Amino acid sequence: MTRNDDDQRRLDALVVMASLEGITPARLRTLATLGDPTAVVDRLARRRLHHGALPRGAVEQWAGQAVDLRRRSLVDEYRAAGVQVVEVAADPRWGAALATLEDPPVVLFCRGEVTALEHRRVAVVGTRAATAYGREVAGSLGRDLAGEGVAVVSGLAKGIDAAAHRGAMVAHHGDGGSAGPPVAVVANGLDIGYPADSRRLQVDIGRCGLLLSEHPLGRRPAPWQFLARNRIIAALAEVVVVVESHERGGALSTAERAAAAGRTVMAVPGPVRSAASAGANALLADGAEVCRHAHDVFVALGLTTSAAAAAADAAVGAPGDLSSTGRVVLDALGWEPATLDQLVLRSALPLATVAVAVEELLSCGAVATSGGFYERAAP
Amino acid sequence: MLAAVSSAVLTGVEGHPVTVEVHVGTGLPSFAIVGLPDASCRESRDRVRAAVTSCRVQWPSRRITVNLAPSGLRKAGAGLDLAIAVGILAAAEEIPAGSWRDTGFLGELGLDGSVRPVAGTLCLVDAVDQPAVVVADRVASEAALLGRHRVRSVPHLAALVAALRGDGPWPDPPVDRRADPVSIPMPDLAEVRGHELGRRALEVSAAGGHHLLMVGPPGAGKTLLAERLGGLLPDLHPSEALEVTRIHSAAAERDSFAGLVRRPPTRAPHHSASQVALIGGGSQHLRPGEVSLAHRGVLFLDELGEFPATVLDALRTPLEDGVVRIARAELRTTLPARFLLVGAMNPCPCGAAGGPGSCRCSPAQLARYGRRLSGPFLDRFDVRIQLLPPDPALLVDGAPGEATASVAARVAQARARSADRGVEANAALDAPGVDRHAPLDHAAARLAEGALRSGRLSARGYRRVRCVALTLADLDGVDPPIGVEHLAEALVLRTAGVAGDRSAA
Ligand SMILES: [Zn+2]
Repeated sequence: MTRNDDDQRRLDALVVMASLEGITPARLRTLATLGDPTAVVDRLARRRLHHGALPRGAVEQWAGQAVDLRRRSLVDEYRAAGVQVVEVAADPRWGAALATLEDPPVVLFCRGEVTALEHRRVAVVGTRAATAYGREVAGSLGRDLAGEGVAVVSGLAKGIDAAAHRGAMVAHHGDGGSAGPPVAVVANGLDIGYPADSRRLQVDIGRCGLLLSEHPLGRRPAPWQFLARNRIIAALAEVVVVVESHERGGALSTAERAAAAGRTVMAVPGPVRSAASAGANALLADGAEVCRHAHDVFVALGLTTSAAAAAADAAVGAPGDLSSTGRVVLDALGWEPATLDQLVLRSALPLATVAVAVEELLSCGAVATSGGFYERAAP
Repeated sequence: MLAAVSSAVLTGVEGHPVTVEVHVGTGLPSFAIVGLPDASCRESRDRVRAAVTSCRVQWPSRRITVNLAPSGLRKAGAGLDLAIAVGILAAAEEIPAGSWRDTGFLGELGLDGSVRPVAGTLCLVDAVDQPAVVVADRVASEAALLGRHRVRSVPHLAALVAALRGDGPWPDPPVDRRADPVSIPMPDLAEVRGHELGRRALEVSAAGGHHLLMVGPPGAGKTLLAERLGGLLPDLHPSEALEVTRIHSAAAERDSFAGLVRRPPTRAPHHSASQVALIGGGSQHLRPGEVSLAHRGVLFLDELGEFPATVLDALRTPLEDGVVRIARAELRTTLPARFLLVGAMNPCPCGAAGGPGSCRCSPAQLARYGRRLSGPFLDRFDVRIQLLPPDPALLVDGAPGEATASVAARVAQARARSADRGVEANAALDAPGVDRHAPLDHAAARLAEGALRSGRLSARGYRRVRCVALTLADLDGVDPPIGVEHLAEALVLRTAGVAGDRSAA
């Protein structure tokens, strides 16, 4: 038997373990410490495996599943599906990338370019319920970071995550080879398109960036898996930027893990009355570094970048050729979502005039609307 | 002896004439009612017998057969009691022949002989062809609304017998304190401070008959505004008033009749009400539901998302055709139900008072919430606005808003312009009608094109927006083509959405 065959059988056994029902990262680590994976799966299948940290009932069930699973050559199946299986401890690149984790994943499933690990890596994360402001900032951070060759890491969730990925994709399409590849760590099997809004994005990132998961194909997302996923994002990134987060948002758990591992945590300041910025502002109050634009991140990374990148991040101004009422209404809007009533009140203009101005601002892209609220957007 | 007495029964809001034929003949003493009486109607036997006996009239100890004609019509309720009693007394020759011939009798009897009112008296009286009717005291003024009959009311069967025998005069009609109803103060728009958009939405909704959806957190003033929509609608025409009153009469619990309904009603059923209570129907008595009670008025559904999907689904026919259709084995009828629908709801389960970025709902919660209301249902609302609680400063020292009376004057003017187009209100314009009556001027066309291209507006939404813009122009007394101001305003009156709903405006 060749060395390669050995490796393959070892990986197959690890995938069997990762595919057991009710397996968690902790249980998987326990199984992996019990000996050579092939031998462990063999003992499982023959009901010869006992361990205090593993619930007896689960082990009973696993026996049957292990019998079925090990008949298949799972690694080949994954390869056919375009998914590579990595044993983290056995791969020096991954071992180094995830070195700060006390609880690293035993296996990782990836689709795309593992060369992403050769780039500087920055996580851009935040709330699903983002404002137009947050999405706009996340998008330009993603674009400008990737434009300078930084791999932008995030979780593919709606809102900030998706906006950051999309920004990175823009840079990637913009200048071919030199842009940093987008990296998405998801909390489900790579064949599950979740969230539905990001399906297209998920496919694109798998094609021109790197898609990662510690879960086998077919595994559906569950709440605990999102928190577990955050630890991988925190470990992969040298800098974690929180764009918008609610008071107890999930992005704060990523920031905490990153801080605990000695990573740099940055936060984008937001309006003090915006619930969506409460968490990010609280991080700043606790001593996180201020991130106003990509240039702040480059400084944190110790990168010297072209002046153009910094200039691109100059504060967003009003578009040049607005009517006078358009300008008044845009000023009345500020940077928080507002209803039409609020715009009428603040601008002291009649409803019909405000309506015309709002339509002007919407059509030139200076304002976005959703659900009856108006928000400032980048022109 | 044989006697045939006129009366009527109610199906939904329709009265149907019924002839009560009574035969008193020889044979063993018995008392039978035939001709498709239901259980409640069959109980007449016991009530009539006790009532007649209580009048010190000899009960004929003979074979009594009561036939209710036409026999194909199902007779429900106790409203035939009075006619049956008169028929028996006539057939037994206790009252003079002919004294009862030109009269319809409508009333339920108590065991003591008292005459009680019947629900739907107005509809029943309408079905009586005779020149006179006898009803219970409490509904005399209701029976007189039609003005076609000589209306006599009696408190007690004994008084009726005396009058028919000529032993005594017809009792004086009771003094009806409701004849000149004290007008109940209606909530006025002047009391609403702030809410520019909400006030405009009410005005447009009233003027154009556009269904209105208000989205906002609790305390945003949705109910405050909805209560004031009815006040903006024009008075009911006399024929409409009678039509609406008939419905309210048919649905009335005994005492709740409050005279001719001259103003458009507002109904606000709770989401926990049963489907029968909301839509109408019922297994025993066919009753108009809240949608019919809101006929020619306002149906306000607060917490729209909490109504069961089956109920919202059942609203489809009334929203499309203005009627509720009841079809059963022995019964097929329609109930009028043309109303202005006002829906109110939270933007999402948590209320998201601050708009985008303030929502704390999980994606699953949002998806579930969005699924409750189908896209086609939301499509019914031409006007959809987002409301927030107004600035407290406005509540304390803001100027009072424009009063209902002056807004209603503009609404009446706009409705007159709709009438020139052959519709009651602009919302009734069909697609070719909108194309014909609401062309856009050049600037407005460019604005619409931008909104369509950006996906903010769907093709169907485009037509409805022009329809609302036409109403705005009518309110300002401006003739088409539609200008950019009215189109822009129509667009902002259609922006609110519900979390999880993916249908484009
Ligand atoms: Zn919410």
